[in-house]
Amino acid sequence: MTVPINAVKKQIVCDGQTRTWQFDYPILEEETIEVWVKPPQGTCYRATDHVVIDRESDEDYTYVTYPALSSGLEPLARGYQIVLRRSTPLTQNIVFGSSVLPKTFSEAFDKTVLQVQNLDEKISRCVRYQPDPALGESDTQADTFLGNVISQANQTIQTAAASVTQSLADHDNSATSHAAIRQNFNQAVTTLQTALFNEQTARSGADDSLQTSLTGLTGALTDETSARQQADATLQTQLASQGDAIGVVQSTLNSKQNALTAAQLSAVNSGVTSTTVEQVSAQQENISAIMQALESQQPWQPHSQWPDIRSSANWNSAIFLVGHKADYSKYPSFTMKAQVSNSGTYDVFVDGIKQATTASGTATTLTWQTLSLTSGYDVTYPEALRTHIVRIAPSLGTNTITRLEGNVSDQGTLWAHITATNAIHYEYTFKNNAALEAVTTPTGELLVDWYPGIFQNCTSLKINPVINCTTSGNYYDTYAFRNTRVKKITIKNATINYSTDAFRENPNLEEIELINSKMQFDDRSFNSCPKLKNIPQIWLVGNHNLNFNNPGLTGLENTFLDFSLDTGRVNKIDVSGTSTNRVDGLKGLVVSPSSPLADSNGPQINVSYTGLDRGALVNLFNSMPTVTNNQVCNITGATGAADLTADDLAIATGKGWTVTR
Amino acid sequence: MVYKKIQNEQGNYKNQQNVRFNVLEANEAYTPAGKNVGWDKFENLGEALTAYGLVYDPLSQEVNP
Repeated sequence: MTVPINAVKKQIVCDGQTRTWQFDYPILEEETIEVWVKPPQGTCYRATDHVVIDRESDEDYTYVTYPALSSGLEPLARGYQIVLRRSTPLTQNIVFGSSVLPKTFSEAFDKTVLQVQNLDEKISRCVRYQPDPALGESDTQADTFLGNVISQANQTIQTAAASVTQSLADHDNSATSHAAIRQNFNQAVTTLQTALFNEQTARSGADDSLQTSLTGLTGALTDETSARQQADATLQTQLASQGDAIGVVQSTLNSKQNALTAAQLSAVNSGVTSTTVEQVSAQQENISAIMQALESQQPWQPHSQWPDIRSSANWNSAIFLVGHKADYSKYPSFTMKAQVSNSGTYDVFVDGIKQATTASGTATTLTWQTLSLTSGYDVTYPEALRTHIVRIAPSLGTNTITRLEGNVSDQGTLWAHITATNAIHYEYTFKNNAALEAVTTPTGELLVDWYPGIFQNCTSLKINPVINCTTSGNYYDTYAFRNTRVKKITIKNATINYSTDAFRENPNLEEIELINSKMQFDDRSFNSCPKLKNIPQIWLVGNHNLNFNNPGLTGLENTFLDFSLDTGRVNKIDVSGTSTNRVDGLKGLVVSPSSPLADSNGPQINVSYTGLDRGALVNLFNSMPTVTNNQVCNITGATGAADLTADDLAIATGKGWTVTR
Repeated sequence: MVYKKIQNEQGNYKNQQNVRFNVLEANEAYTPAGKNVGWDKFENLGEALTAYGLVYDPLSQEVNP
């Protein structure tokens, strides 16, 4: 027998009719064939009963019947499978004697081949493992391969399990996210639906409103068109009427023009019109100035809350409106010292009641809390105060007040009214009364003897009388108006040869008027008077250093300072400004050839940053004396400084001066 | 700029010996002897004071009594 096929089993699908099948593979004995039945469902089982095996004579085919007819069983139903399997025993029972038949050898070899085929079939269904050299495995380590297989399988399983776990987690997260997204989406949909509904509602309302407005506008347009048409018609009528009127006016004009004389026409052609305009302009300026003057001359009126201390005022008196706080925390007392003629006494009245009689030259102090007055006037301007009218008068009507002296403290004087008709020596009478707003007299003039510091630091003083120096002799007015708020100071009949700081620090002062007076000023007289428009004629008595530059008199207007009559007294003069605060109002300055201008602290003449043009500077140079001590004339920034020629400069340098610019 | 130092007891600058000076300053000085003769050129007042050895020490200002 030959074994040409390497097959050990045959699987056949049953058809419900066939029960005998051919087994094509060689076998050695019938008993080596096994019959296995595989139902459509369920476990495969081996059939041992009712199996008939019929082997052909040539031994190439074998027929297997199951179930045998004799069993009475039906053929295997459709869906069943039957497996015919050869199972060759792994034994050999050949005995070799003296003579061995070839058949015996053939059968022995065939059995061996069949056994090998059986083993091959089993091996093909075994789990096989390929050693991995990378892991140090070899064929000789087959005894450990199962461990490796399990380990690898376990690792694969763990990897797969981790992947599954991650996937599950991702799924969970995804599910959660999906749920949130779904919820948000649902909310968004709801919101959009609501907005859509609202929008539709609003648009519906707007459409209605627009329709209503459109209807209204259409009606208004119709009305407006109608009204305009009517107005146009009216205008046309008026135009026609005015055209007629213009014709009449033109006719009248023509007739009047025809009536103009030749002289009148000549006057028109020669510029009467422009001259008239200039005249009108000038008149307007005059009117403006007059209005300002009138305004400034309007009689001062005290605040409406103040009692009028002028009414029923006794003559020969000094009357004061004095305030104090109701709790006496401010202005607790009032002190004034008076001298009266004939060494008499003077009386002090408060709100009409005499409170004291004091010897001449002795101060009287009114302490409000001690007096505990029930009289008085409550005011709220300039602050909440209880005010009283204080009157000082000689006890004898035949005597007069000759001197009034304050105590140089702020004691709440708001207003003073002087009715004395004689000149009084005022000595710091109102000094430091910061609330003092006005000092009045029945005539507008205050008759004075000396008046040093009379209004010093009265920083509310706006109304001041004309200072009238009625007696002969020299006067002394140091600090008289220092640091007030007056706009104009007028001094009459004065010969003042010592006027230190008299007008300095007056931010509102615009004008100083000297009537029948001559004053000498010191170098601080006009300090901090930025609005002062003029410098009065200066009476040169002693040697003078006239420094009017601290700060510059920036308010000067067309001012010419003339010291040509100096007879050897001016040592220095400084009317300078600065680059940022120019004194352009100073237009001219001349000195005398006899002016010493010898102060050791130059420049001896300083007109820097003033309005002196080239001509004015040349005039100044021409007026300057010849000097010998390197005197300096500073013209830096003066209007004409840059226009000076070498010859111009030589006028000054030729007299020994150094000119700086 | 040109500068000139002048000794003056009312000056606003003094030297180490407490001698007081004033310092004049000008862009240019035309003197009887010629332009800038007798005056010193410096870049600024500070440089001039350094060169002159002076410090600013103004006399006290008169206050409102």
